[in-house]
Amino acid sequence: MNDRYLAKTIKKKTSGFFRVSLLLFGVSVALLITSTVLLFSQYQQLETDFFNNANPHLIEVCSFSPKESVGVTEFLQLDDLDNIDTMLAHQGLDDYFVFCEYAINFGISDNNGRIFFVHSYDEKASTFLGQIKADEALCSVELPNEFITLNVPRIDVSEGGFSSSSSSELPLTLVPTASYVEFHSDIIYVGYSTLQHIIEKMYETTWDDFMNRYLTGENFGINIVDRIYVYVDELSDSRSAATLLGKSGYNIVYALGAFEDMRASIDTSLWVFLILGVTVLFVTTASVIISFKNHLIMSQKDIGILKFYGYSENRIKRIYNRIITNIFFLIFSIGTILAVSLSVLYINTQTLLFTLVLLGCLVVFLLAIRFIVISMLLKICKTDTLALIKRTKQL
Amino acid sequence: MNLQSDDNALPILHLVNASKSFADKTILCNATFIFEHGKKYLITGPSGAGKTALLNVLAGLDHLDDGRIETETSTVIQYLFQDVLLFSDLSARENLLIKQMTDPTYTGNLKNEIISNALTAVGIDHTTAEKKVSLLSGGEQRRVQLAQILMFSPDLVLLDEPTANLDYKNKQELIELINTLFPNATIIISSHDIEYIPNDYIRLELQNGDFNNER
Repeated sequence: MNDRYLAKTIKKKTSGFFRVSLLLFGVSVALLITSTVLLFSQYQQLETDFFNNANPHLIEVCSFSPKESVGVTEFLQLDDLDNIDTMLAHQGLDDYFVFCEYAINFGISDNNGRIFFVHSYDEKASTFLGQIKADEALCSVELPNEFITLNVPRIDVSEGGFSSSSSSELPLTLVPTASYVEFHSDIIYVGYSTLQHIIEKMYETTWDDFMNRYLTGENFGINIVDRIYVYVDELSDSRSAATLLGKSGYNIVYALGAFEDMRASIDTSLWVFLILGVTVLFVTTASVIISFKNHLIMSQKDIGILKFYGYSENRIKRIYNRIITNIFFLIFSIGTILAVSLSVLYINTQTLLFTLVLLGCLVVFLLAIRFIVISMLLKICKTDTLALIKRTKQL
Repeated sequence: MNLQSDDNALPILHLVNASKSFADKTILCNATFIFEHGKKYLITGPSGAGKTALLNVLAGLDHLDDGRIETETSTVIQYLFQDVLLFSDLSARENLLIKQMTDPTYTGNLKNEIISNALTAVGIDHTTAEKKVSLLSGGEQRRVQLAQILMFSPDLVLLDEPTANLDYKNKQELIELINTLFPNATIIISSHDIEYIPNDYIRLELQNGDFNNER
């Protein structure tokens, strides 16, 4: 027979109240772990869906309606890029940028007779859309990854009209891409330099020359600015930016306007959860420490009897320490099983890492409570034997 | 008064110039006394004279204020406390087992054999031995405590009011049992029930901080 038998025998004597108290503590810890892991997982999902997703940050400017001409809608011009940028800067917005989507507003056929509409973004967009290689074109996922040859028409501008009698070939590789912007199957996106190259081929001039003439109002038969986008870094700034653009006569698409202050709302919820969680933890911790204290007070006579029988203080400490450690190990095991099960449910490296950190915190927390309980035990063990056996009657 | 029963007797416990006060009462005042091997002593005295406090000191549970107690280190002392010091939720056998575990020399079947022998010796049968202590009568609980003591073959047995709260029959049986169980041990009993104590006990009255031999 050894201390393990004794610990087991003495454990049988624990009161129902103490057992219920420990059970409630275990349930509280389990619930806190469950809700924390779930909340983290949900927060991560929100991060992916909203905060780290470009779409809710984008305001799409489609056209312009002058205030003085009700019902009139104008195409966007290159000047609008600067206008919008200046306007937002005056509004006090810092973390934003404005970029343009160019388009050649007629179809260009390939060698197989398919028609493609060529679009492109300016270089500012590459910071979050990425660079498109010169010999590639992004296309809808509905199209296969294949090599095509575009027949770029050479446009002859003459008085009163445009004509084309020849073309030059432009080889491209189609790269099906699921992107932030919905692709139509006849639209391809080329890099900014490729767009310049196409324009140069079409009008047999340099890009700079084309732009200079285009800005002076020369008619090239195309409206090269398709859309202007405003990317606002902070969702909470989206509403003011969108309002300003709308008031200035720009027609915008701002589908996620209802969610622009979601981060603030989520952050508030997280703080509320943190405060509630800490409160629950504090209350249950206080409750379990009081329960342990009561249990040890009730055990004073038992400890006194053991001392009377001849057990040393150290041996009694070892016996009760074993009981206390077993209890905490049981609670830790329940917490671990729950947390690991949940993180497996939401298979995700970040959740798993978070769970491990959470379990680390649980170990520290349980060790801290164990330290308090063991300190109380040591104090009782040091008490004089006669005082212990006379202090409490056995229940 | 310094009292020694026999100058040539072998001492098992020697109180030397012992002083002990408890609350505002003087229990021992520079008392010197030799308890001899194999002799039996009855400590008497009015309530509050300090009989229990004296036994607590002799058992090592309390300290003298002054003076010393001399005894051989090999002397096995067992103490039957006034209160029933048993784990009431556990069986009589388990209580013996827990007490036995203080001695690491007991191993294997020897443990069970010693426990069974001790329980049989005090008249606790197998069925009673498996019952929770809380279900046993006062007399049975006392017997279980005696069985705990018996397991250690003590040289000196200290008994504080062993017959307290027992009926007439149980009191008589318990005293007879004590004399039977420990024929060669030194026994020191503190009791108010002096009529049950055999005449061969040396009666010492604790009075004014010293022992007064009544015989």
